[in-house]
Amino acid sequence: MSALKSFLDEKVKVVTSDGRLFIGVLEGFDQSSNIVLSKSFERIFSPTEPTKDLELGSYLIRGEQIVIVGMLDDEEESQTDYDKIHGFQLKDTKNALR
Amino acid sequence: MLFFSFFKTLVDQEITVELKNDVEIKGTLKSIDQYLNLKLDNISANTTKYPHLIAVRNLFIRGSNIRYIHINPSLVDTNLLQDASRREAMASAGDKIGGK
Repeated sequence: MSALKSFLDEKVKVVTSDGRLFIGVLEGFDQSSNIVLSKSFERIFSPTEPTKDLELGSYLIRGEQIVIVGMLDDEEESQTDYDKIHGFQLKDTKNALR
Repeated sequence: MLFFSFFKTLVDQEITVELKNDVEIKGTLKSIDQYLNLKLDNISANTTKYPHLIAVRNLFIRGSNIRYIHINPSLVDTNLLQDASRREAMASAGDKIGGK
């Protein structure tokens, strides 16, 4: 479970099992991969509307809700113009096999 | 613990992980733990449909949300895996007879 250790104090993108995307600084984690984010916000993509960021502050996300924790490359992130990026909402993890 | 050991032999190999939310991520397996949580480096994913992973190179995937892991067949010794499965089944059967 020490895999998250290298992401501590780094900016991370977190995908949850309901398909939402949170971005923040990883402040801590535990055995069950419960995590705490600071300076966090939720990013909402839409196929038609511009991308929206919702400020959240500090957030604790329960481990069982977590799908992905990815380390963010600040340079690539700042070069991306999210106003021009459109995408679909991620599915949740409960959808049945095709 | 058999598959934990098995995946440890795949470290530094390229694998594709299919998640329960239908997202597929290709990357180099960097570490694995007892829950089959993975760490992948140098990932690639379809960011046109789902832009969520833009600017992410290395990531942690929670084992409980993995549906499939695609592995290059040349990296798997199926005979060895079958033998190991039998050995593990025998060992746990022995435990039961021994009253554990």
